[in-house]
Amino acid sequence: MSTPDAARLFDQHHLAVFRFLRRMTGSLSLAEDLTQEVFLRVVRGIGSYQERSREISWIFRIARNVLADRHRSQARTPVDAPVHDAAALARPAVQALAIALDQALSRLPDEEREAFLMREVGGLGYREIAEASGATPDAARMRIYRARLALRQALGPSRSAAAVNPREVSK
Amino acid sequence: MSQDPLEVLSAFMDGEPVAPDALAAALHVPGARDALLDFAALRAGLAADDSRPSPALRRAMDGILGRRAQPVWRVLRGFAAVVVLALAALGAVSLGMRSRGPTADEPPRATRVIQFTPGVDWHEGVQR
Repeated sequence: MSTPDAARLFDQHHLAVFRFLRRMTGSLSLAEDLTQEVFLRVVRGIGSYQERSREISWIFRIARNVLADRHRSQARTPVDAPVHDAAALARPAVQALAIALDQALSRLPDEEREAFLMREVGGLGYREIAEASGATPDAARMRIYRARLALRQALGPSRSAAAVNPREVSK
Repeated sequence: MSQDPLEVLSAFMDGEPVAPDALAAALHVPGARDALLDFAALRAGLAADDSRPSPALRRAMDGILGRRAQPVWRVLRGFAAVVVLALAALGAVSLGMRSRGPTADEPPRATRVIQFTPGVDWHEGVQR
């Protein structure tokens, strides 16, 4: 079994981890600190990495643990600070969507936001999300679906006929 | 187990296995197409995120990972080595040209002088 190179793992995955943590915390600086903590743990734990899981899946599991430790040690800080890239915000359409998306994401329950972002930002499959979060693949699928419905409703469905009330989805 | 039709579409979007019958049924539900487009728009919205951590994170991680930035003296040392090599090559070429001696166009250098005295060593108009 080969041991992956920590430097390569950082180069390949730090942006996805950073963006996941940024969306989860709503803070750029906190996301940066936590990203560093994630890769510190990657360096320390690289000997225990098992090839049965994908590297990205393993790293997101660590990211989730770092986030959980952070929540345990400190009360979650409500953050309303802008977390967008200045260049991107120069484009009004991007600005509107980015802000609306961030606000809608911040209103999601943690579990749904986490599963949804692991899927969309990390590219993890349902089984990988389930392993990372200690849930079942069915639960991961349902969380992502609920997140999509809630976000869709919050951002305004593109067609009113398609509007679906996420609260009607069976829990 | 009956699934919500839009949940089937959600799973299909994620590349998860879905039953073809369930997918066919889901696609016939009113609003299915719009839902699919909205799900795709959400994905595109998240993919447009081009936020990056500050360079401080990379610097910190380079220290942890044992990667060092190229210090200035190391760059200068490399440059000095290139200059020394170039000078050495130039010197070698010049030395080689000098040691090769005169070229075919140049007359050979005199090694001794022979003097002829008219009337002694040679006589004008005398046939031997």
